[in-house]
Amino acid sequence: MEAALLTTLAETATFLNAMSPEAAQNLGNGYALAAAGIAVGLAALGSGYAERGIGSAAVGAIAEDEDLFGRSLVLTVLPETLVIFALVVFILVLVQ
Amino acid sequence: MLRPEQMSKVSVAGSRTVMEPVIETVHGMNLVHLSDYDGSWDGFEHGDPIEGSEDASEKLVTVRALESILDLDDDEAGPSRIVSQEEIDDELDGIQAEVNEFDDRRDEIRNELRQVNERIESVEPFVDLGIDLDLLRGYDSLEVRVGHGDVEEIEAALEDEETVDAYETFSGDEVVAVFVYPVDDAEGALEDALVGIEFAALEVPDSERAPEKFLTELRERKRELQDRREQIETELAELKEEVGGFLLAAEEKLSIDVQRSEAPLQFATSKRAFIAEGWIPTERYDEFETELQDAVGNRLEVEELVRADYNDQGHATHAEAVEPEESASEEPSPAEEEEPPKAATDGGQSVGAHGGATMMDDSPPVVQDNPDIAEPFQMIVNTVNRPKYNEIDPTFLVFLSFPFAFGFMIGDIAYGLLYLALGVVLFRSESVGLRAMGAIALWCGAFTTMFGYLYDELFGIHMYELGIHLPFAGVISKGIASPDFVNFWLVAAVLFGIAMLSLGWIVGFVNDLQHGVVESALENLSWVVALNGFFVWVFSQHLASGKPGFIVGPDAALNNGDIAGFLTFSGFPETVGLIGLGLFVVGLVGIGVGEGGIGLIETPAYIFGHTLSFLRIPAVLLAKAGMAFVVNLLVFGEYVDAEGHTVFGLPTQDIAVMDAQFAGLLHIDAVPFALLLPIAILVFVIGHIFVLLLGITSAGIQMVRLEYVEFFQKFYEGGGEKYQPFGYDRSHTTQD
Repeated sequence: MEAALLTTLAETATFLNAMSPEAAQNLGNGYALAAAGIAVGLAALGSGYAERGIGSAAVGAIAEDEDLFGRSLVLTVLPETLVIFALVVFILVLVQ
Repeated sequence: MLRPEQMSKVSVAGSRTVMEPVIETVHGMNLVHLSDYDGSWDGFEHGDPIEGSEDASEKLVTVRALESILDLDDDEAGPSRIVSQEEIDDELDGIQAEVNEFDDRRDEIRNELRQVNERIESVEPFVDLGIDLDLLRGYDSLEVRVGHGDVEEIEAALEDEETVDAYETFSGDEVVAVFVYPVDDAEGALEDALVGIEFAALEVPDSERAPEKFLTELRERKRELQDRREQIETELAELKEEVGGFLLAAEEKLSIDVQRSEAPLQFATSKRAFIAEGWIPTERYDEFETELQDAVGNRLEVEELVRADYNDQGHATHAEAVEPEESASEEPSPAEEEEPPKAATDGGQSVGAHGGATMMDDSPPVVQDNPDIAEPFQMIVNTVNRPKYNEIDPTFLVFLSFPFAFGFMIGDIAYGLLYLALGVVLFRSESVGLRAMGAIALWCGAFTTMFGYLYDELFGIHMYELGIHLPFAGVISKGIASPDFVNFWLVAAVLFGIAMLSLGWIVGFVNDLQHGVVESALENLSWVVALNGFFVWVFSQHLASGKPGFIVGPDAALNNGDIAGFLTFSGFPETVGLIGLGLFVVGLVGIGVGEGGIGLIETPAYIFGHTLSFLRIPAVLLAKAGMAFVVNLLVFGEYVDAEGHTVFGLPTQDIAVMDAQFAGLLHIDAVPFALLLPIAILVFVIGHIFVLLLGITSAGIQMVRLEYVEFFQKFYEGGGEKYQPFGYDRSHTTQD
């Protein structure tokens, strides 16, 4: 088991060492993009989870009093900021 | 524009003999927002409704009940008419009797129909079984059950039951009839056997006839009843046609009567005099006074008590006093003996609490006063809340910022034109709300088209790729193809945010001036100083090595001659940055003094978070551009031309000589073009509709949020009272 793991590691190291600098650069960029993509996705998940509760409460409040629509909308979109920031970070990673 | 219409408090005092004509005149003008008498004056009570109020209310209830039975809509009235009291008295009873009779008959038929339906439902399973109903009950020695269940399961259960001597089952498609002969004296043998398995027993209908025949009879009866019901519906519809207009007009007349006769409830009255107060737009006071004098003559005293200032709640104690006018009544009216000290002021001093001029100490109602072009945006503001009388109405500021930012985010000629078309459709609607939305859509569409022209984009495709070259088209770019612009838009959005937030606090400063200049400045301008100081430091050379390259330095986003020649800003000098930092600290001290610890805790969110929140503008810009790009990529594909530019494989391009990066739907060689074309068109249309609609929800909602959360939070309270003048907008009746 241990031996097999060591062999895999050694093989990976050989593979990476044999890479041209350009290939390594590409691989790095790819990881950066993937990481940024995951970051946006997770942030969106967070926003969505936060809005889920607020949204249902807001609909309940509006059902009671339609005048609360504006304030409900504001409260519901508050967590949107999370994903917007993540998107900005993604754009920065993409551009730099 | 930024303030609501100025309101004046008027007082009308006179003898009770003229109260009715005064009410009628004031009601007809539909101008005065009545204030409630608070009952605080000695000798003055709340008025009683004028005689006949109860009768009118009663009739109104009848008319509304009839309308509800007839399912009468407001738009089914036909031309407006004159309805007299006599006409209502004469006709209403007859109509009521007729409608009620129809209604009773309809109810009867409905009930019977329901019963028949129930019986049909209960008989249907027995038709399926095929056994006459009288054979299924009335045995002495047999137990019988009919119901839904699995035959094999039932038989197995009966086998196992010891008290069952013999049994027989008959099954139709869905139901099973079980006959059991129990062993001697055993009672409930069948129940016991079935208790452990799934079996839903049905009640056997009480009829001697064969189930088929019974069912046919029932169905016939049902058809008959349905016919009769339809007939009644038709007759009711005819009746509705006949009396609908009259009922709606009568409702309107009775509503007006009730409104008028109950008005004295808001008045202060003594034995022989009455006083009413209310708010009217200041500029219409003269009209109001003249009309009342014309109607009632000089037995009445009309007076403008105060003009409400904008810097307070309009309470009489603070408001600008109106110079005493010559009393409208030349001769003392009989009422005057009983009246409290008159409302006249001396030498422009404040009136109110001490003088007792206004008996009703309420805030003026709010009539928003915006230019016609900005008026639709009141809807966006009022969704949060109506502005208070003493605060600045932000409608015009929303009008300046909302369509601009929306257009910037979507920026596409084709989308802009579609939004314009949508706006035109909505604008033609009857509903006030939809019309306002239509107007907003028109503005947003116009700005979208304008920005689309500057971006040089049509459905996400650059017009130059189509061979169209227009002046100034393409001076700016969304940044999909030119990353320089991305950094530029990020910085520009932050600057826009700083401007909006500063403006918000400055408006807040003006609103709070009534609490004192120093206090208001500490509470509001401190934030402006801290915010701007902080960002001056951010955009300065101080500690430049630690700041990202696109903020300061030679690569700064604002130091980019490629975008525009005047962009040569690479950061404020270090000294300016330090001054900014100093201002930031000064601002923080001000916030601490003005708002206390809570204010300081809010600083990171308000100064940093809220400013960066404006980054959603370029984020949406890029997201929208990216989505439109993907749709076009799928349809046209991407090619690199001889000069190394990446272009869409549009029909105008000669892609044969280009290097294919991604073959679009239109250019798949393996599939016949005739088959590809409809698919490509479908993808193009659905894709762009999708982007267009998401544009409304993302760009629209995000900008609304920036207005509500980031901008309004800095100054806006809202909660103004709606101006509801005493009167009625007649739509079904006329007076002449």
